[in-house]
Amino acid sequence: MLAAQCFERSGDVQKVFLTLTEKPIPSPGYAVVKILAAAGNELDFKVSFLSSSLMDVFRL
Amino acid sequence: MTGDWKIHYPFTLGFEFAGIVESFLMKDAEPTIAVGDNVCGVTSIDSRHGAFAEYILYPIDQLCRIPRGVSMKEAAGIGVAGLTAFQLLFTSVTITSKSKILILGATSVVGSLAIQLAKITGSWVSTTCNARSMKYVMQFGADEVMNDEEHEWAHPDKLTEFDVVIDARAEQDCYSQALERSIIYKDSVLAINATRVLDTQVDDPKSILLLSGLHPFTYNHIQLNHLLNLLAHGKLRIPIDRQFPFSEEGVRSLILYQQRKSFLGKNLLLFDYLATYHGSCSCGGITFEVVGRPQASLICHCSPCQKLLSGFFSSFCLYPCIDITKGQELIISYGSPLSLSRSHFFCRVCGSCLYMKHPGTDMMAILMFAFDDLPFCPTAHVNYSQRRLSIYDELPKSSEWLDQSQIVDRSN
Repeated sequence: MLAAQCFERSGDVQKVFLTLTEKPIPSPGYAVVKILAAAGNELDFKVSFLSSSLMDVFRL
Repeated sequence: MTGDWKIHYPFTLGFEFAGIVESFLMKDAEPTIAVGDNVCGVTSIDSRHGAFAEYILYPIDQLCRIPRGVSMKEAAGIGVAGLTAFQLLFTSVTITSKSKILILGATSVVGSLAIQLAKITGSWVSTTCNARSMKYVMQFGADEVMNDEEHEWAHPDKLTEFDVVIDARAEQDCYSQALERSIIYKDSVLAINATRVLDTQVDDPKSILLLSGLHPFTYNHIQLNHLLNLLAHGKLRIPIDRQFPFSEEGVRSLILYQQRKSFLGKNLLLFDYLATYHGSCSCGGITFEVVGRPQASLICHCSPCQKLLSGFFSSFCLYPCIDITKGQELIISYGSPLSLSRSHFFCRVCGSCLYMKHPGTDMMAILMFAFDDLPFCPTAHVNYSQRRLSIYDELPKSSEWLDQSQIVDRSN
């Protein structure tokens, strides 16, 4: 499946890649949901900015 | 939620989603969902499964079923902001119909939802925004809207009128700013997105309660279900600002747009198969949009349709809901004396009929020719026994309304 991930810095935010990742396999107690809409919030930017740096632990 | 967070790589962005259950495995209990259900949820930062992806793996008992009347876009956007506003008002404090509340920052999504939730409770609500946003903010029903730039609210005489003050302006040091102004708080102050938490001595710590952190809410699917039901009954409205496609550029643009903080409403990421279709009345005063394909596209031969539209039949698409994007104030409705369960919705300027509530379904029947282009073809005739004109085509013809199994089939 396609998933949006950040690995490189490019300007103000990390460069976003749509990468091929493994489609989830249902496990007991979990459902696989086909996403039709997603919403952005402030946390997306903060995570995208941090994700390619060495600081992969951050404090909220 | 506060603390140290470890990102697990590969990390997929996105926290709020709405979609369709494709498959699941139960543990012991009876399933509360079914394949094909429309659902939504909020994922956490310590999960590898983000929402900016085609699929997500999510705990069944935490999923919320999206009620009829709530769009995928609304369901995707209500989670974080809705729960934050709900918990500020009903968990951190308990507001009542006698409460007087000041909500700073009505243009934020949390602020706009907090205003509406407080008004549902019956509280008296004052709020602030800049001069440019006054008209936008008025729609959320606050009893008083003050210009934030004039700092009228910050005067101690004004501030002490309130029982609760909520700072939803997303400023990093709102609490410290408040202290610098030597403001006396009567009851409590709640602030979201504040990072400097109680780092200044307060004379009466019991009088001030401050929430902090980037992500201060706790995910609670029961509370989210409650918010979805409020949306379904038209008691709550979530503003939507921009919609971006699910692509590399789309995700990057969404993240950059979020950073600007000048937006009004939630910003969404839509997937290709969730196309948006637009329509309008004849004069253009009213515009609307719907998401995805209709539940059915029908030609109706019933007598009320003939009378009300002055034609042999009506043709419409069935949708769970319709988003009016412009001209809400121009819409007038007419309930037909021929049927108590029927209403038609017109433009008061040009008289165009855009959609109706049709007997036999609780969905919106949007007239096909109200769409700006005609993206769908009829798939069946209904109420054909009342026809005044026989139609010789290959479409199935039902003498009455369709049964439910035919409604849920997506039409082409």
